[in-house]
Amino acid sequence: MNTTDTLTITAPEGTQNIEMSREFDATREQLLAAHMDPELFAKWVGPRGYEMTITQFEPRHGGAYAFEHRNPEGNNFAFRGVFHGEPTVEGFNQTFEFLGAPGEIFFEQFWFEDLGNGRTLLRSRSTVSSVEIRDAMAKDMVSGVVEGYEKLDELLAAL
Amino acid sequence: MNDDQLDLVFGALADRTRRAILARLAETDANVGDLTALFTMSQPAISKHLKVLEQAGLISRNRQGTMRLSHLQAEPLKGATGWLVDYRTYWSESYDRLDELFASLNNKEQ
Repeated sequence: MNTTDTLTITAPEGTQNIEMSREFDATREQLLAAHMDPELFAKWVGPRGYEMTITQFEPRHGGAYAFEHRNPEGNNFAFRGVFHGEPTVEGFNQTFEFLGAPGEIFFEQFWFEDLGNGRTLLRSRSTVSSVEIRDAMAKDMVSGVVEGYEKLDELLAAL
Repeated sequence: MNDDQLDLVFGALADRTRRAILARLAETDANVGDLTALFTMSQPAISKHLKVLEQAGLISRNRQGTMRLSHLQAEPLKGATGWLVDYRTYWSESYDRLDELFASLNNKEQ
């Protein structure tokens, strides 16, 4: 697998955004299908070992989606949102809500950029409701470890 | 953890000094004087940070003799960091699986 195929997450200063980018050895059409065909979508979204159930999937402007993951311990994680604008090979927009933190609704934009040779760059931008929540998320996502947190990590691991 | 609690925890963690205070309290309990000595900050400023941490449920404060000791309560942190760390893992693992899906689709076409 190509070494550029790693997920990059950034949290640009002074914004409420979390931005991700990832290259794929696939065309824009394939990426669109992977996001819009429920059968394909169910095959890849979610961490490994999680069972995926799609309960609603209407990939068009104003259409809603809802799905649930069940982890190996049997806990359910439910997500839902609405598509905004018609999805195309250029990308699509949606809202995203994790029902474990209901009311915290992300606005997500996805772009598919043709890199040639059958490769595509996927970029996304999630906008969250406040700078505080964005910063708190970014701390862990971007740096991986917050400075001085090693002891806390050990403590958390022992809980 | 409900949404309001998450907001309080995230708000408390968004500040560098408060994260440093939590890291210090992960070692041992401390009073406001101990903590003030660690930072170039006034005692009232540190007290203000402790109040925010207490409201978020991240620390408890008990009187011991004449001293008021701050004690780390890690349970809310576990809920918050669990949710945060999952976001990265979630997409990283999903996209690795998408690679595999594309690889299998491309093989079928050939």
